[in-house]
Amino acid sequence: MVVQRLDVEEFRGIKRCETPIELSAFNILIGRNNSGKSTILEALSLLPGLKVHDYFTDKEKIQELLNLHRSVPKDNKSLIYLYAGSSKIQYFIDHELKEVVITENDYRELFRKEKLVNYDSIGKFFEVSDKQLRDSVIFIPNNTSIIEKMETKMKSLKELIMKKGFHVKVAESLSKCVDDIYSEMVFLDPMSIRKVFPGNSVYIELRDLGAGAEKAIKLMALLEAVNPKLLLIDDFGAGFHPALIRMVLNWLKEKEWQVVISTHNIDVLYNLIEVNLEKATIIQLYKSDEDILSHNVLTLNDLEDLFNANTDPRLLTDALHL
Amino acid sequence: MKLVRDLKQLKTKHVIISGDGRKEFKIIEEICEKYNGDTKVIWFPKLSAPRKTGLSALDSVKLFPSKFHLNSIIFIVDGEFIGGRADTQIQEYLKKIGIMVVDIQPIQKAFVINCKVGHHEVVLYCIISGPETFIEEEMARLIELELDITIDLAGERDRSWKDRVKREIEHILHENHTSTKQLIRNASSISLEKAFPNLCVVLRNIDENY
Repeated sequence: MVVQRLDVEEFRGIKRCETPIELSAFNILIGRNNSGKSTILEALSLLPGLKVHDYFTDKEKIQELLNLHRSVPKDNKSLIYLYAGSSKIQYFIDHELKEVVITENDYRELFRKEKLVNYDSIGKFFEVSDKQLRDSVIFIPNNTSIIEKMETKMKSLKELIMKKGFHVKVAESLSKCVDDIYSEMVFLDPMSIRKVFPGNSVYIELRDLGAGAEKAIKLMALLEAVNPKLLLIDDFGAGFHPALIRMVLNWLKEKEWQVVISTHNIDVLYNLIEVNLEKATIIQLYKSDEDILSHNVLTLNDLEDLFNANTDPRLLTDALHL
Repeated sequence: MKLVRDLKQLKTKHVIISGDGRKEFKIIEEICEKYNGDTKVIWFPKLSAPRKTGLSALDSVKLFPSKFHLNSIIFIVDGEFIGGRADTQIQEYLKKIGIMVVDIQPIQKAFVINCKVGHHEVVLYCIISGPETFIEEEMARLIELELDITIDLAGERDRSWKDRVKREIEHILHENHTSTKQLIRNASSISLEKAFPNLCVVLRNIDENY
C-alpha cells in the first residue's frame, strides 16, 4: 500500500492545497510552526479507514484524532476548517482514489468511487487481513503519552519481539550512539534494558533512560514487530542527539515502509545526506494568510546543494509565497 | 536596503549564497543599511552553522529560479578559494554544472554573470571577498581608513596568518570601544566603498535597479 498523492480541503487549519501533494517512499515535511505539517500527517493517519481501530488505543481512528484535539464526543467540528461545513480528503493509493468527507456530525468514505460500507473491499484490494489493515498505518503524534502506549503494545508483542531477536538488535543499535553499553531489552514490569558494566550487568527501566533514547528504542522494537505499510511520525528528531538521529535514519533506510515524517531539526536534514537516504524527498510546506497550502519538493541532491551554499532549506520555505 | 535571514511575508528577488562559512552576515547587514530604501530586501537564508564550501556553493544556482522563483543571486566567496582569475574560474565552474553563461559584465572589481538555467534567465552577482584571502582584509582596510590604525597584512596566507589578522581586528575594535557593526555604521560611504569595493558596488547596483 503506497499513498502516491494527497489532497485536503477544509481540513483542520488548511483551507485547501494549491496542488495535491505527491508522496514518495520516504518523505520529510518541513515548514514553519503551524504551516500544516501535523495536519498532513493527521490526514494520512485516517488511513486505511476512519472506523479502523487505532493501533495504540483501539479506538476508531477518527475518534482517536478527535481525542487528540480534545473534542467533545460526537462532534467532528475540530477536524473541520473554521469549525463549520465539511472537510474533504482525497488519497491516491496504489493509483486508486479514496475519499473521505467529514461533516460536523457525520462522515462518509468512498473507495474507487463506491461508498465504503465496510473495509472488506480495501482489505481485499490490498490483500490484507483485518488485523493487517489495522496495523498498516502507524501514527506517532508529538506527545509524551505515546511513549507509555508503545510500552503497553510492546508487551503484547513480547513473544514475537523475542523470537525475532528485536530485543537484542535494538539494544545493540542504541549502544552505538550513547555512552552506555546495553545488551538486550528485558520484558519486566516496567520494561527494562540490561546495562553492561565490565564484569557485571544491571537492569535499567526504560523510563529511566533519557527521553530521546527511550522513545527511539521503543519505536524501533515496536515497529520491527508490527511491520506497518505506512509510518507517520510527527516532530521526528525532537530530543534526539545527532548520532541517534543518524542511527534511526539508517535503520529506517532499510525498511520497505512508506515513511512520512515532519521535523524542525536541521540534524535530521544533515543526516539524510550522511546516511545517503537517496529515496528521500523533502517537502517544504508554506501556508498563505488565506490558509492555502503550497509545497515544494527537494531531492537529496537539491538539499546537498543548498547546504553547500550555506543556505537553510527550512528558511527557504518562505520562497513559496514569492 | 534591508538584509534579512527570515523573509516571512516580505518580497524580494535577490538571494545571497555563500561559500565561506563565516560570519559575514553582520558586515553585509550593516552595509546594506547604508543604501536607501527600507522596502528593498535582500534575503540571506543562511545556515546557523555555515561551512566552507567555496565554488561548490554555485551548485545551488540551478535550484533558485525553478524551485524558488528567485533569479537574482549574489554569490559571495573568499578570495582564498580562487586560484587564478575569478571570472574565468566561475564561468568554467558554471559550465561544468550545466549552466549556460550568456555574458560577463565587470562592475569595478566585482562582476555580473548573465546566465541561463534551462529556460530561466538568472543574474549572478559575484563578490570575491578579500580579495586575496578573506573578508577580514577588507575590515583591516576599514580600520585603517576610519581609525587610522594599520594592520600588518604581510606574511604567508596560511591558517596562523588568518588567526593573527582576526585577533588583531578584535583587539583593535575592543581597544577603541567599538565593534564591527558600530564601525561600519559610523563609517562614511567613501570609506566603505574603499574598504569593501566589490560588495558595495554590487549593493549599489542592486539598489539602483531594484
